[in-house]
Parts: sequence; C-alpha cells; structure tokens
Amino acid sequence: MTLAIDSLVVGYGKRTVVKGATLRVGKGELVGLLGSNGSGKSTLIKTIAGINRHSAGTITWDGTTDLAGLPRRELAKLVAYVPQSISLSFGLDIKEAVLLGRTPYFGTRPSERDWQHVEQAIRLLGLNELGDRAVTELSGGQGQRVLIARALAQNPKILLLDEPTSALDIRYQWQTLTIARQVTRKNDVAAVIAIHDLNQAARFCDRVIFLNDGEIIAEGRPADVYSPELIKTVYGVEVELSTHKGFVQIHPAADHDEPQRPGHLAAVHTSSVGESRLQAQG
Amino acid sequence: MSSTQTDPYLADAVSGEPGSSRRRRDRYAYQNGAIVLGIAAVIVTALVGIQIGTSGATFGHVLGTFYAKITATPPTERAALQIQNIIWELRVPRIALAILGGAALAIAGTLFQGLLRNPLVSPYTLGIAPAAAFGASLAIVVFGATAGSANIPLVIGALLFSFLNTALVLSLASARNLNATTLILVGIALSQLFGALTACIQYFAQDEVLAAIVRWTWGSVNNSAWYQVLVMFALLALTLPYIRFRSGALNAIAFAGDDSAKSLGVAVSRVRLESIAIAATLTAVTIAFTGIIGFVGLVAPHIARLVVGPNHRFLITFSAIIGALLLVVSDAVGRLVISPGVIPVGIIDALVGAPIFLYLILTRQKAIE
Amino acid sequence: MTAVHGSYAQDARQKTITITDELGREVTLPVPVKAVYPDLWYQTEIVRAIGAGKTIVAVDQTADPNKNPTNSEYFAEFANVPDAGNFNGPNWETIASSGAEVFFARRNSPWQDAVEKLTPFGIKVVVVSTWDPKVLRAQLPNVGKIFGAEKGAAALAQLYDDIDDVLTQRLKDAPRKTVYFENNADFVTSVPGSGWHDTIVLGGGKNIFEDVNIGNTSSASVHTYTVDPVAIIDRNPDVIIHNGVDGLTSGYRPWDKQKLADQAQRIVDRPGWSTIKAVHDKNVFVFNNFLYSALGKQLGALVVAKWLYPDRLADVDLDAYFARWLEPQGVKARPASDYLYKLGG
Repeated sequence: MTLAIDSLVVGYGKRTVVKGATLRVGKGELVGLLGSNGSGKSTLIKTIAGINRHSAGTITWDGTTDLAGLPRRELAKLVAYVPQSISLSFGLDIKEAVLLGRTPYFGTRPSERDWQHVEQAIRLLGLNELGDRAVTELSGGQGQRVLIARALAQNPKILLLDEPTSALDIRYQWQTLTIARQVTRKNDVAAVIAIHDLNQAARFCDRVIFLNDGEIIAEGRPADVYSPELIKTVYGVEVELSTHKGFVQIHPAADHDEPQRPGHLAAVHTSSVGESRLQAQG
Repeated sequence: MSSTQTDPYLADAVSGEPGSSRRRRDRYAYQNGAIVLGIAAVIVTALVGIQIGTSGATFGHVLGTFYAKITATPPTERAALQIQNIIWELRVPRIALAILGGAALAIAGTLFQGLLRNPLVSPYTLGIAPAAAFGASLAIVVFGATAGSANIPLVIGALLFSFLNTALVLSLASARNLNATTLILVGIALSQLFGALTACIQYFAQDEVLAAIVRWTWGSVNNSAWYQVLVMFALLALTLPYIRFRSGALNAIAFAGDDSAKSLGVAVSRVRLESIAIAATLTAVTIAFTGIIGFVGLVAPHIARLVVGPNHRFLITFSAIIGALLLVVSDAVGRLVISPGVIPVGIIDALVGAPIFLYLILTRQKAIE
Repeated sequence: MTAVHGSYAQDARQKTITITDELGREVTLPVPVKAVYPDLWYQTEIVRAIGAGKTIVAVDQTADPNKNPTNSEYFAEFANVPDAGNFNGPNWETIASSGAEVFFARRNSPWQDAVEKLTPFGIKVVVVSTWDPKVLRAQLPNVGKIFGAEKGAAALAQLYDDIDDVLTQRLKDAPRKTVYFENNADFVTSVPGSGWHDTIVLGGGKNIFEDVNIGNTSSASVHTYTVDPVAIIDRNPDVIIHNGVDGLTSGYRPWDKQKLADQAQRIVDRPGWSTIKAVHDKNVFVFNNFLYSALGKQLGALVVAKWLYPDRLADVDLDAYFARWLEPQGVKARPASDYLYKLGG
C-alpha cells in the first residue's frame, strides 16, 4: 500500500507554491520532507491532509482511492495531520485532547471503541503518567506527544507531521522523532515529516525528499542523496559531509561563514575541523 | 536509532484491559449530574420567581395554575381565578422569557467564544447589539413604537438591523476568508458605526422618544408577552439539538485550530458560518424582545466552563442553564429591591453576576487560561 | 465672541428689581425685560400667555414651528426666530447672539450651565418651572413684574385661581378615587415629586403609586418610573389615565380620534388587565398633552376632576376655561374634546 502523489500543483491566489510534485511513500516508511523556508513543505503536507486544495495532479492511496474524491470525514479516517504546535485557549485535559482525534468517527457521543483508541494512543505515547492534567500545563515535548497521540487515535493509514520539532528543545526534538519513527513502524503507516534539521532527518528518516522552490529536486536515502552541491542549491550554504555511526552528517564548510569582501584578501577563518584536516594533510 | 534498542522515552503499547468499561460509562457522570442538577435548579428558581412579588400567591397557587391550564379546568372562585390570571398572563411569560432569553444569550456567547477561539468575546462582539439598538431607535422614531417591547414595529426594527449587521459580517467573512481576529475587528468597527448612528438619533429626538430608546437599551423583561415566549421556545427547540449535534465539530474548531480541525474531518468554514448565523439569530431575537441584556452572554459560558469543563457537548447545555438562572434571579432581585418599581434585568444581572464571576475566577484561576 | 447687546436702551431703565425665583435664587434685573429665551415650549407658552410674546427672541426646538408639524400653526410667530436646538444642551452662542436678556428656564434644565455660559454676556437666568402648577402659581406675580406684564399675569393667575376654586368646591369631601397614571410608555408611571403626580392629586385622585419615595425629585425617574404590571393589577385602580398615543407628538393640531381609541383599546387588551376595576367599569382615559399641560397642568387637573367625578362637575364648562387659555396664545379656540378620550367614545 502506497501513498502516491503525481504532478501535484498547489497555489495560493496567483502564486504557485508546489509546482508539480511526484513522490511515493510506502507503509511503515518515514519520509522526511526537506527544503528551505517557503519551499512548499508545509503546503505540500497540508494538501495531502486535505487542508489545502490542489489545482492539478492526484493523490492516491493504495492505487485505488483518490484522496481528493473522499468526503472530509472519510479522509480524516485515513490521513492524520500533526501540526507544529498545540494552540489552545481553554484547557482540555489530555484524554479530551486526544479524543479530538476521534472526531471523524462519532457524532455527539464517543463510543467504547473510540475510547479504546484514545487510551491506546495515550499509552503508546507514554502520556498515561500525566493523568488528568490540562494540556496547557504540559511542556512543549509533552504537548507534542499529545498531538501525535491525537493523530494516532484517528487510526490513520497516512501520518503527516508538519515541522513538529521547530519549537522544541533538543531533548524533545529527539523524543518526538523517535516516537514518530516507532509509531510509523508499529502502526505500519505511511508517514511524511516536514523537517528542517538535515542531521536529524538523516538519522531518523528512511528516505528524504528535497523541495526547492516548489519542485522536488532530489529523493532517496539520506546517505545517497546528501551532497554539498545539493545542499548548496537548496539552502545556499557550503557544507562538508561526514558519517557518524552509520548516519550521514552535515557540517559547515571550512571557511563558509565569512562573507567575501571584494578587493580584499579573504581572511581565512579555520574551524578546528578544517585546521586539523589541513594539518593532517599537511 | 534502531527500533530494537530500548527507548527511554517510550512506553510499550498495551491493549485495552477488560473491566475498564465500567469506568468509561461513568466518565461523564459529573457533567451529566451537573446538568441534571442545573435543570432542577432552573425549575425551582422559576417557581420561586413566579411566586415572588405576586401578592397573595403561594406555591400552591403556582402549581395549581399549571395544573388548571394543562387540564383546562379554571377555578370558579373569583379570588383564585384572579391570582391564576396574574400568574399565567404576567408572571409565567416574564419568567419564561428570562429563562429562554438567558439561555439563548448564553448559548450564543459559548458559540462565539469557541468559534472565534477567544474567551473575551460575547454575543455582541460582532456588532449585533448596537445594530439592534439602532433598528429599535429607528422604529421608535419613525413608527412611534414605544418602549413596550411587545410592540411589533420595534421588534421588527431590531431584528432587521441585527440581521443586516450579521449578514454584513458573514459575507465579509466568507468572501474575504477572514480569520477570527479580523472578524472581531470588523465587529468592533460595526459596533462603533451603529453606536454613532444611534447616538445621532438620540441627539435629535424628542424627550419621550429619547427616554424610550434609553429604556430599551437597558434590557428588560417587564413587557414580556406570550408570543415572545413561544417564538423563543421554538427557536431554542430547533437550534439546541442541532448545536449539540455539532459539538464535536465545535470542539475541533475551538481546541485544535482551523487547520487541524479540517484534517479531523470538519468543514470548518461551513460550521463556523452556520454557527455564527445561529448565534446571531439567537442574539437578535432575544434583543428584539428584551432590549440589550449584557453580561450574561459573556460570563455564563465562563461560569459554565468552570463547572463542567470546556467540552462543548456539555458546555452548551450548561451555559444555557447558567444563563437562565442568572436572568431569573436578576429579574427577581430587580423586582424586589424597589418594589413596586422595577430595576431592569440587564442592570441587575451585571451587578449579580460580576461578583460570582470574580469569585470563580480567583478560586479556579487555572481553568480559564 | 463679543456680546451683542439687545434692544434695550442703555441709559434710562424704569427700574431694577430683585426677584426670588423658584430655587430661592435672588435675581436682580432691569425691567421690563424686552428680550427673553424661554427654554422649552411650556415656558414659551407662559410668556405668551401673560401677553409678553413679543419679547421672545429665541426659542428651543420644541417651539420651532418648522420642527413641530403638530404645532406649526401654534408657534407660527416663531418661524423666523433663531432656534437654539436641544433644550437639554442648547446652543449657547445662538442664545447669546439673539439679544436675550433673560434665560427663562425650568429647574430640570441645564440652568447651571446657563449661568456659567451666559453671565459673561449679561444674560440673567431665572428658574421657574412652568410645568409645575404650584411653582407656576407662586411665581406668576414675579413673572408679570419681569416682563412688565402684570395685567396679563394677573389674568392668568385669575384663570388659575378660578380653576382652583372649582376644584376645591366641587371636590370637597369627594371619596378619593384611585388612579393609575401612565406616562406615554407601557408600565411607566409618575410618582410624588413629579408634576404629573401633582395633577392627579389636584384633580381629586389618589395615585396608586403615591407611596413611592424617590429621594432626588430633580431626577427624571419621578416622571418616568417603570413598575411591575402585576403591581398595577394588585392595586386595582378605579381609573386609568394615559398620556398620549404611541408615536404621536402632542400639539395644537388634534389627533385622529381613532388613534386615541386604539390606544385605549391597547390598554384594556393587555393580558391580565380585564380584572382591574377601571377596565371593568370602562374608566380608561387617554389625553393629548396639549390640553392637559396647559397653564402648568392646571387644565389637566380640571380634566382629571371631570373624569373622576363627572356628576360633581357636570356643569363645569371645560371648553370655556380652555378658551381663556388659548386666547392670549393667539389661536382659535378648540373644543376640549378634541384632545380627550374616554373608552367607549
């Protein structure tokens, strides 16, 4: 079962943000969506989630179901969307917040089955220790877990995470990504995560897709895809690559951070890495 | 990180245990209990309200009146007939209007707060009250409607401009895809506009007309009539079940944000427009009958939230209960304090409700944030 | 703004007098005053009634014939006189530049503002609430002196006293019938402190809400006091008297009789009111304020007496008294019945 996106075009008014994207995501696969700000990552994700409408192209699940043709509620039973952060004016407690994920399934009264899904999601995300707390009392990482639990309660086949780590500190970034990966495997969902940290993407994602100015310019396993030329194209920075415990890692290139001053000799600023390399070579 | 490593951040998934289903059935016992108690309180307060300030009337008379009406057996004794007449023609519509009007405004307030995701909004935020006041003032000046708000031209004037205001806001909202904040700002602008127009009318008006307009804006159930009760009842009977049916969607919009709500299967724009239209209708019709009763639409949802929590499935109903209680009590107080004079209910409900609200805020601060 | 002095000669004045107005204020002014601004149509009427109508150099919007269709004939002579606007907040410049020497006001007016704003122009403020019958009668001699219209004032006082005599004699030992007085809007009545209340009492009635005590009698709530309709039914008045018809402005031009009839019908149709004695006996009355408020509501008192005790005042000719009032106002006499209605016609 695959999520298949073909020649997807999404625009806001006159501006085209996604200019013909084609990609595949398989079950149990966590695919990272990378690109600079404004490249269309969030738009693409929201379009798959049904939040935006695409003007051309198709989104198909399992070769048969056209997502655009599904009624909203049916789509919500298939695709779950995890936003960047939790936005609340009034304090729901954790159970009620996760129960929101069952909205497409019940009208007014949640059933036993709905609660089972909720409790399962809560346990999976380790939230049961937090009991009856209001969501507003939680830390950033805990809040993010609630959002993921909510998405899981939807019992989706497709899981979309929209830059879930942007507002978190490093402990919770790793936690969230670990959970995303675990959940993808355990629940056998096709998962897409918009992420901006290249190293984290390399570490946690099975495959990555690079968006540049609305177009997909690279796709594959991180180790295969990352290259200084690609990174320069997408992000406009000079990088060097290394491997750490089997994962490809990105570092700033030796003298990248000093702007060139015309007419002057460029001052050479060596980082410790660059220096040791020079020494090693020299 | 491979999945075979033990993860310090995760607990393993465990399937649901049997025997927890009984716990689940009681899950909302507290909320349901609160609602039942609330309804009982409304009934008791209503009966007390009917009896208060009606000289010579006992609870026996009150209950007897209802019994006589239901069984169509009016009393033959003249004094009893007189009392039942007063109760049925004057007290019951008054109390009923207070209950239904309070409920309507509270429901409208709850809807607005959830839809606009802002705890500071009231049914009047989108400019309905000044628009209705303008319509009423126009009716008073042009058609000579009196402050007796059972007067049809006045009711129509208030309704007409309420709907005009609402239509303006809603069409701007859908045409320009306005978000919650912008909607509120539009409402403020329209409030100012209609407020100024009303002030214009007042400035040039004759003394009696001016007094009539001012009196109307205080909000009162002193001139309640049976037809108003029937209209309000029908309106609530139609809208309340529908709103409850939508409570899942409302929860999603209020607590998950527009994008997430859409991804949860909610037609956000449509639900928002429908719900605003309903809230505006509830508000407009109530104002048309009672004048502008403030405070209850803003505060009843908050008081309700502090008791039953923010889940709209229970919040809507309980807000209605609180709104009803607030107005029945306020009307009773307004009638007793300077009897036989009447202090308008709109003034009393702010005086009665504000201390209650303050107390609740200070003791349960966290729940509001 | 430079003060524009009026038409009085700056040198020889007959005399200067000091009068004490209604509020106990001592006002010293040269007389006779030749230019006055009366601040409401009641005041305007009284100035005209004593024969000093020519001294009116500015009016408020209620005496402006252009703004009051029902009084366009009645106030026709003020068509070209400056209009100072809203009596609660008149245009002080208009008044100052009109040449007025006196600001002739009611006590429930912004007279303190007038003192502050108009004294620099040498304009005196005299407070006499002509809508208040007792005040009016007491102050008539002063008003006559101010305008050099002692004869006119005396005639008016005579009319007042004649009516007083009629009331005193005919109402002697009359059983006081209870009255619910409704002031234009549903369930809005007047209580002690209000001239409306006084008129009922003068007319031999007992206001069913006479027990209401409002501390500050300058407050508007004495005139318009909202009551619980149940209280009206409980107090079971013998007679109901209602001021006006919804939406109609009172004036010299009478209303269509049907409108008065409809108003009376609306009252008796109110839910629960059929048990009230007044409704049962058909003692429900509606009046046009133009007649009722004439001469500080003295005419009104006479109307009330005739309604409450028709037998005792059977031969009292209301039209004659009304004509004595209308004559100095400079308009044709009209029958009192044009301005009054009893349920049943």
